[in-house]
Amino acid sequence: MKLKFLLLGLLIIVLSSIGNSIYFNAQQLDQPLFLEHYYVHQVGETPLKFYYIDNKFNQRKINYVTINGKTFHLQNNSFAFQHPNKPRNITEYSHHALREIFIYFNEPSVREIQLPFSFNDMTVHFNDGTSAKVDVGHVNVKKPSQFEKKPHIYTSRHYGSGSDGRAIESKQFHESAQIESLSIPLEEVKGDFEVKLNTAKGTTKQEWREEINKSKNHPIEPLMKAEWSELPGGLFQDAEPYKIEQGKQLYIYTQIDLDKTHMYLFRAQLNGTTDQGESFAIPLLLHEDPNLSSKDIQELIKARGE
Amino acid sequence: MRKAILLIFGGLLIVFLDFRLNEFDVLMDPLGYVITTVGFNFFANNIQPARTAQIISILLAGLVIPEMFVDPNATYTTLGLWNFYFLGVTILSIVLAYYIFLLLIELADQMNRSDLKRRTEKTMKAYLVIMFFIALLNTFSINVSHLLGFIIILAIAGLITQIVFLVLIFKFRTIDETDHQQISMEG
Repeated sequence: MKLKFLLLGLLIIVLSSIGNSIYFNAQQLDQPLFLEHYYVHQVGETPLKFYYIDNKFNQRKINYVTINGKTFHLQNNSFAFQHPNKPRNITEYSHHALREIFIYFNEPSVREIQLPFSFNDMTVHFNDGTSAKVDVGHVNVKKPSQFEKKPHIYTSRHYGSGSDGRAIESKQFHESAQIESLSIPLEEVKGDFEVKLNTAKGTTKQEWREEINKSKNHPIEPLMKAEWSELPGGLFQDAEPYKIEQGKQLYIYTQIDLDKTHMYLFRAQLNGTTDQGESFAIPLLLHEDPNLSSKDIQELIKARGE
Repeated sequence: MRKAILLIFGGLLIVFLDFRLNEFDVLMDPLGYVITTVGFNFFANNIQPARTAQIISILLAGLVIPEMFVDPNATYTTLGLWNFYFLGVTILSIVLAYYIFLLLIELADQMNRSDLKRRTEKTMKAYLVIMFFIALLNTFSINVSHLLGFIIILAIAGLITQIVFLVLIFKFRTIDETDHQQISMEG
């Protein structure tokens, strides 16, 4: 084989290597990119999970974070075969990886902090000595509060939530009442989810159990899988109170907009009054974890870069 | 001659084998290249490719010292300057193989072993083409993650090619002896 062919081949390899390096470097993030989290959290609940995107080949791990000037240590999320000084990649993309940290807001860690408190950013400190201030969305942390149950007005029946942003619950009403408003604890998420209400024939506890036993999987399973627009009932809007007759069962469907790459974990609340004038509330847990495609990642990076 | 060929073979075998304890390469690559350098000395006065191979061998002995402590397969080495360092090592070792092939062809020629010459030329072509594709594909691996399966297949092909190369060199250890036997038998 002629020497010039060899040299040509080697030249191609060198040029390709340079080109690939330039492209690779252009794809790297200077700072980790945190997704937007919309959380309302009660002290003592399970640790809050925060997702971020970092360079896949960068093995820096977040050691601790500072929020409003206070240091929070991270809840250890090491898995059995996990290197203790390297972050775990939940999902890998060609240049980036989705990673997570858990912050535990429990009694000792918030002892000296005035509750409730809220934050939109935090400073993350890496094990390589660097740190970065990152936007994380909007998080409220408040004192644990007991929800006041009023079982003489309604009792819970079905409950189901799926990974596609949908949750369904049903309540058996013992008094005639009407739902008047929906409280949302975070202003930013108002347009991000919808609530549908529907009333159906009431059931006694025994009838309800029989319904579950007779059904192959679960009676509400078809409703979990159905298209949002095909679900019975109408969208709930504050302006028009929704009436429920005594003995009927109220179905509440919630759907988080899946086009958003945001994380949600908070409780909204339906407020109502019985015909006797007693007020009551129905808490709705809204929870959605990420399922990001490679395209979502690219778009997020582009959006933050500008 | 037998000793010189065995030195070249042994040196390359040490480089080829990679036993790492806590990332430290127990079979030190620089030592391997020093041994091949000694082996080339036997031919250096008469055969030009041997002289070139010797120079490249010395260069590589120095260049691969950091490699004893850094595993090229660890992910952090695919970044920054390390990337170009390993590229340099790869390119030099391909060039070294090129001149070893030229040396073997020259030897086969001198001993009138046209069968061995043909075999060496064929092996050389296959070796250089396969190594070219492996090195080229490797440059893309930092950007295209789903190449991994492809790279594994090529890595196995590369492994087999290296072994074929080593076996070929090993075969040359008896090239002058078999010749003597043939002559004495004829005589």
